[in-house]
Amino acid sequence: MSEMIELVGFAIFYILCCFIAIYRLIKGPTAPDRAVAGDGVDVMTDMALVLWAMYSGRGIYLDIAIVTAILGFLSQVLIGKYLEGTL
Amino acid sequence: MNLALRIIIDVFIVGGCFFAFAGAVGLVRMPDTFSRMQSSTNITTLGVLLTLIGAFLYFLIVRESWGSAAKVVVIGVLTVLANPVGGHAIARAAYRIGIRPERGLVVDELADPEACVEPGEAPAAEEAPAGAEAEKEGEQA
Repeated sequence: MSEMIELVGFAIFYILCCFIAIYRLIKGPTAPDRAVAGDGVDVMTDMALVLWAMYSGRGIYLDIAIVTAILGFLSQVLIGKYLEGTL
Repeated sequence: MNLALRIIIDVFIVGGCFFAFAGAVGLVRMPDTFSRMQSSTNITTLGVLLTLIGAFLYFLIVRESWGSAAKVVVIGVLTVLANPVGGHAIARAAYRIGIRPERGLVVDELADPEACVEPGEAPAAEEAPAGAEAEKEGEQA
């Protein structure tokens, strides 16, 4: 088997970085802080999904990562428009 | 599986992990909102791109799966195209709701009331390049 066991470690590292960003997501004083931290959590979850797809060899996780990337972009633009008042 | 290839892929992914960690720490420790946005961009450009280069090499050479490699490329293109747009929207919203950097701004172009109007509302900006093209055509004739 050509499995790379260290990919699981990298995925766990990304999830730990997500928890660092979730601290800012909870504490953040203003709404743009929370939006930016949420986007960081979204992107790092994407990377953890890609790494898990590499380890397990199942392409379905890549599909989930594509959908998460699109939804993160849409949510960021919509939150920006809503805060600006032009939605 | 080739050991050298495995080390190359691991180096790319470790680089991505480093930039993601730096971005996450900067997201916590930076002093104001715009600095945190700059630090978050660190995650979404270099962290994502290095990790995706590693994933692309892995799917293409080790797994020999062209479909998965194409999906990785789609994720990379989406991230590179989408995150500047979203970051720009949120930064402009942060300015409009009254958040300012701690040290003051050197250049403040959004303070101009005509800055960043919507595309359909600015006919004056569209006439200038048309006039320039007309002048070029006159010179060629």
